[in-house]
Amino acid sequence: MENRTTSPVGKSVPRVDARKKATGEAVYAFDLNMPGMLVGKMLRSPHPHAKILSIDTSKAQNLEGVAAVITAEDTFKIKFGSNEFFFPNTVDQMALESEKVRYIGDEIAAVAAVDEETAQKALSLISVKYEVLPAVFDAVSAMKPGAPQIHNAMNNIGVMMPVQFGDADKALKASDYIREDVFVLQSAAHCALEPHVSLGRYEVSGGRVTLWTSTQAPFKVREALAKVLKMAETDIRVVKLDVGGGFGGKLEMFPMDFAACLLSKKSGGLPVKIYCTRHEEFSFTRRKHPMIYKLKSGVKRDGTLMAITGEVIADGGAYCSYGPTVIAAAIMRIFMVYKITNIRIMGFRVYTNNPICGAIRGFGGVQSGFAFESHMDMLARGIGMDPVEFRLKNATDPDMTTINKLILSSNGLKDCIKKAAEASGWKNKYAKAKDGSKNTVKGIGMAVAADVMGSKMYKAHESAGSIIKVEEDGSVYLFTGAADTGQGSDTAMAQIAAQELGIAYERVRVKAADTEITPFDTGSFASRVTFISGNATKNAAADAKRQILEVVACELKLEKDELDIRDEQVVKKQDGSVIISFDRAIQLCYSFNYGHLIIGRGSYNPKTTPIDFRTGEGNVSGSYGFEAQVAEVEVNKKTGQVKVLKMYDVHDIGYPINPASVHGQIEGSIIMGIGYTLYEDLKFSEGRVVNPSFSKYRIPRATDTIPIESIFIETNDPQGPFGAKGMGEASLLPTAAAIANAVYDAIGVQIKDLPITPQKVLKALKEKEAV
Amino acid sequence: MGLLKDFKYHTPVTLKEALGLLKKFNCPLVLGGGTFSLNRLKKSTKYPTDVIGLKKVSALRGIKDLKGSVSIGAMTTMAEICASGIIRKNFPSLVEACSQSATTPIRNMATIGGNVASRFFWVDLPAVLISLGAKISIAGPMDKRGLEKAASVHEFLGSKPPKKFIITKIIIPKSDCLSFYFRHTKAMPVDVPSLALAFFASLNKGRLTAVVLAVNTTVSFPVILKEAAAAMEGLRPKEVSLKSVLLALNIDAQNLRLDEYRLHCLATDLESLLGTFGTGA
Amino acid sequence: MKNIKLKINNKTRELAVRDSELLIEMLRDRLGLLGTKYSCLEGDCGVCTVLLDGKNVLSCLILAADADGHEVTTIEGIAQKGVLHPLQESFVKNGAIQCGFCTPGMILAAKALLDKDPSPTDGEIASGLDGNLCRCTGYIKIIDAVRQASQRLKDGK
Repeated sequence: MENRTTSPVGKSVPRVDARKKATGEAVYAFDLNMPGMLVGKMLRSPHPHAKILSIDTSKAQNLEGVAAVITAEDTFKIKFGSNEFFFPNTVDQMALESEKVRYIGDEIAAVAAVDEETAQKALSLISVKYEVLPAVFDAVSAMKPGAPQIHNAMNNIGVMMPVQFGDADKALKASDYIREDVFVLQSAAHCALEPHVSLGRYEVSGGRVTLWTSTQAPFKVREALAKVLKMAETDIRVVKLDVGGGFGGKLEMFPMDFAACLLSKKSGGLPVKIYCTRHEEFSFTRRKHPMIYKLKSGVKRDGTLMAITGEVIADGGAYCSYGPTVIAAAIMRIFMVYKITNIRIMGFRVYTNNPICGAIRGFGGVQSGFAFESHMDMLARGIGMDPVEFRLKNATDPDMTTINKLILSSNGLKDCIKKAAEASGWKNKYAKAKDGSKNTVKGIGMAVAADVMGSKMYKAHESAGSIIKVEEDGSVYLFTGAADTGQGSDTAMAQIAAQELGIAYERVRVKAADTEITPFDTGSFASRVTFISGNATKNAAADAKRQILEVVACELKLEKDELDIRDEQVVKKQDGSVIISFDRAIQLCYSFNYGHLIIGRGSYNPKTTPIDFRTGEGNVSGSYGFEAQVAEVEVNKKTGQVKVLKMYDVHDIGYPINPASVHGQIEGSIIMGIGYTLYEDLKFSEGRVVNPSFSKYRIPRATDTIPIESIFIETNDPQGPFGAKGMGEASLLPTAAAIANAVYDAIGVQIKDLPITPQKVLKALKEKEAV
Repeated sequence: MGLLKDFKYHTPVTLKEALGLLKKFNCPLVLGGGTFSLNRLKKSTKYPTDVIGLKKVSALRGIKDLKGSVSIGAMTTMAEICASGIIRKNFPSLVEACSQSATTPIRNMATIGGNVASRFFWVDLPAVLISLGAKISIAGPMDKRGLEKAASVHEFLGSKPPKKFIITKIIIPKSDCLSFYFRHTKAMPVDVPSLALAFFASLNKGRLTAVVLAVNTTVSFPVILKEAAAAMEGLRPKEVSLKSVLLALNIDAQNLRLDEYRLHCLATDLESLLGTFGTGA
Repeated sequence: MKNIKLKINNKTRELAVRDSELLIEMLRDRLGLLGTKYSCLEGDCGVCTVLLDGKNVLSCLILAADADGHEVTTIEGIAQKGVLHPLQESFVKNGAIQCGFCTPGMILAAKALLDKDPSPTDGEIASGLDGNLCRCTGYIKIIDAVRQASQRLKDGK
């Protein structure tokens, strides 16, 4: 080994998978090719809402080169959903629909053929008779009596999320200043660069199936496949290879996953690969819930936040997906951030005949960040208070338990706010007089956010497991269920394992996210991996170390509890004196008595109480992360263009396992957030996405990047592995409001619907002048 | 992967050969840089059986500095135009337009001829070429002895194109001129794709003459702002009044299918343009 | 079918390709060079970037037959005898690689830029990479990596 980085936690070591990605050797699902592999394609509904009267696949089946055609008749017609445990009534989707289609793109059949052209032709030969039904395309209309009924939910309300504590009306009456605002948020696309790919191969002799897929959650996919295929989980293997980004869009089983498996079975075991074109990615996978927030809140003159009331209406599209979690997160994040005890907000996640909304980085937190943090700024201004001071007054404290029973054990929010104000020079920039003669004006704005770092919102447990296998030569395999989709979890796990085991980072090889080989892990979402999977890995490493030290102690007649492994040596804890090298210790293990293979195992289930969704109470997460962001903008009053000059992000991350990775996640999130704030907008017409390409749905390019000052606050979470909390989504949450608040500081108008386009700025300026 | 259905691909090396192939086949696709055509082909239902690629026809390449004009081979890429000392010297607004078009790899592939031949509303070069008074040489399969016809870019886009044609070169007259180019897409990515204003004027004894203001509207072929140009004609640059230009723009706007916001963008472009003249309001 | 002769990663190859075969298909399906990725297949994302005579181009919009007589470089041809190119090293060291899907195209675009302009400013680096989308990194560490690599190349390391 050339490099030996011992004690790697806290160091920006190069990622375990960086070299293979730099040379093009990384293997993504689409790169897999197998002998006899067939091309699979999905047949999708052209109508947003229709009854399926009949499907005739005979011509397609008889086409030369077609190996298999499937419809719902080939399935057990079992429904699946992504939030089944807490919301059983949201199990509403079939892998292939048989009675009704509910959005343009709803899957009803699939084919496998020898090549693209034949598969495409086969699709065109499937004859489907529809009875077109009236459709509804916005949530407010869908909730009205008489609207087309999409599922069995009354008023098309798939999920209701009532959040109520204290007496909000009384608190409003006691307020000195009350304001009402409406905020509107648009839909957006994940735009992970690697499209969805599913490669299924069915083993006819054993009745087992393997699915290679671009996924963030192989165990969730396996669970759903087992349900709809009526197979044991051990007969289904879901393998995650390198993944080109997920951002929440690859967090569940998709019909194409199911179809690849079943088509392979029907083709006599030939592998079947189905992939999405970019057009299909935009139109038929998942997207962000557009939301409307109506908020009415009150404050005292001294800045005390008295009450928040209102409602949130989310357009959920045709099926539920992660809707319940999204609508919950779209409201309940407020409790992590502010000391609020009087609140009444009703959330509605509504079915429409639009493409499906699901999880997307932030899980409703981006929408809530914009709405609440813009609203907070306006409340502060209403009483003439500096928004920084207002936030400091109302921010949650360390070691507090909130009204809904969240236990915020380590909480650096106030430090984040203070530091962000200091780093950005807030006092010298905020609310300064502007030179009216100039076309461009600068402004500064703040927003804060909090995120769950080890949450339990999908199952009764949120367990993760890891296994560590030490080889004869002292090199180490780490088997972890955690799914690296680019955020760096393989690396973080290797660092944690090496740190705990006392060996060099370079010894550790990571095998991750293969349901047949690695222990269980719910997946990469909700920023949970560092905290939950990291703790499992730490426990596995501790177990391995214990086994090694037991052997050494026995062989060398020492006391096991006096020993440790540091810097690749077995040492005496007390004075650090070296006993033997790690390599020698492993040799001892292998030759000890009948051989003592070192296999460490560990698991972790965060100490939480799941949310009781009837009351909204529950300490949903083992740890919480906090941050404050400050945006500096320049607004051109002539063109309406908003330019973000710089962002400051101060983040309580507990402790950074790999600082470069953490900064990388923060930077990536902020740039993504700027895109959502200023120009990303997934547009629809009668249920069809009208801008399904990168040329029409613009995402940030290298020329859009801005300086970002990213600062850590280290609170050393007592539950986190080496004090770490995690990082994945949080820096996306406050960005929109920070920018909107900065725009207000610049030009005196608060833009309350996203994206903040030049047209909206010009219109707002015109209206302001008219007043 | 089989992304494209089968067709017969022909790669002539001379223009004569290319024209011969053009004549021979019924509805061949002529392939220049490929950035438009191959993209469209992937989604097309009407598929050609024959495609004629022009990449090997050396006669279509090269930038020639002639006496009164510059001749640009139709297969010259946008990147080559940006890098050309001849064009940078004579037509800085063309360099500006090319350098702001699309992205770096596209500019390495896309050709000036293809940009005009595509006859799309949303491409970048026609407005600036019109402002510069550019002419194109077109060759068709029926031309005897390979004679090429010349037409102004404005005429070419304004009339029905021949059924089969190959643009061979773009010829731009040299002059002592001011030329500027303003484009919105890079600055404001939302809802204003490729809206651009191209300005050209000669200076005759310090006065603006032959003023051309051409606009890429993205919803039609480029439009010439006659009234706005007339408001500048004959004046010294510093004497041009923004107020009168904007009033004239309102008249021109009646012929433009542009919404309020895009008209506003044009107005700000004109203001920026006058700013380069060092004028007051 | 068309018979073509070209250089791929410094090796001269003679191949028979379909008339309608795209360069990306030739590289991935015919030659097994899987480092060149596909994502949008419309020329917007840049993950299919290769170098054609040293210039960065989009292999999803070029016919394989049109590579005849030219020199193509893919990500597999950047490292020399197992030694990473300074750009690759710099990307690895600077945390400029997250999911890695944009990385091959991004490195090639950066190489084309540095081969043409060895001392670009950060703004010129960003412009040179404007055809390569990245959804993970926010581009900041990518620009850092290219800047550092340019310094290293100038210092002759």
